[in-house]
Amino acid sequence: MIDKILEILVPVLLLTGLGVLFAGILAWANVKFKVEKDPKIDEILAVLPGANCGACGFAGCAAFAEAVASGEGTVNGCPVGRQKVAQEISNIMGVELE
Amino acid sequence: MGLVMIFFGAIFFNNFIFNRFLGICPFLGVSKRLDTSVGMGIAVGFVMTLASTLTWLLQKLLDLWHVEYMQTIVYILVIAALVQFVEMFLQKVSPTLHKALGVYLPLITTNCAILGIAILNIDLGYGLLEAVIHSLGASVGFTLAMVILAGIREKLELSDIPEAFTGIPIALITAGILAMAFTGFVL
Repeated sequence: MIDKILEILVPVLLLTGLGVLFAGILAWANVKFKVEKDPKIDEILAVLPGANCGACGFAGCAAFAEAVASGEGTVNGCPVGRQKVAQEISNIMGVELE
Repeated sequence: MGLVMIFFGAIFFNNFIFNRFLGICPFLGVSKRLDTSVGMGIAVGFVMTLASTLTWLLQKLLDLWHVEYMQTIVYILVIAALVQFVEMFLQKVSPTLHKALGVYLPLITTNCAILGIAILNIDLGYGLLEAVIHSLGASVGFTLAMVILAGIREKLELSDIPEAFTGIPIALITAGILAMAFTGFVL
């Protein structure tokens, strides 16, 4: 009986342990190698649908947010989010939605 | 002697791209320009060497606890974490290279050359030192293949090729001929 339980427990604990270990290392690296970015990028990213569908013509939601923040992309460039998302992005960017 | 053979064998006789056909995606994707191809080669080499060291050590743990069937999932976890680390590091150290590599950088996670070498090291029964030398050789071989193709593709940009062959098709033909050249290395 104890063998059977261990058979399940060992792999679960092993993967959990490794996952937590790597998460810790990555969290440390995230602080250590932090890059100063435009705070608008994160704000825009938060209101986007996050599907990374690429329908806007950029590589993903992060790339689209970056483009909008730098002025390259248009605030209503996300076809998935429609009017609602476009409105929120234009609020963040501080421009009028036409 | 054995280590020297493993090293050069991984570069020429068993070149990961031309003989084992692993890691083709970045090979075609990032070989448009010479400088990005070198950057990609180094990034893949770094992940390869570190991943095969870590996975070799973890394999001992898997053997010890008799959960060898977990090999693939554990290896992928190690590789994914390493790639994430490399991405953060590159973004800090060289934003231009980070931008040039683009989506191909996170795609190293699913690069079969990396999982391939980690599993090959175990299947071939290599020790830790042999595994590290093998992956160093493989990364040099990978970079070599990338640089050769990138060099040719830069020249192809300027040459007069039929319109239907421009871009990826001519790159595939070039890669095929290169692979044939590499089969000339026989022990």
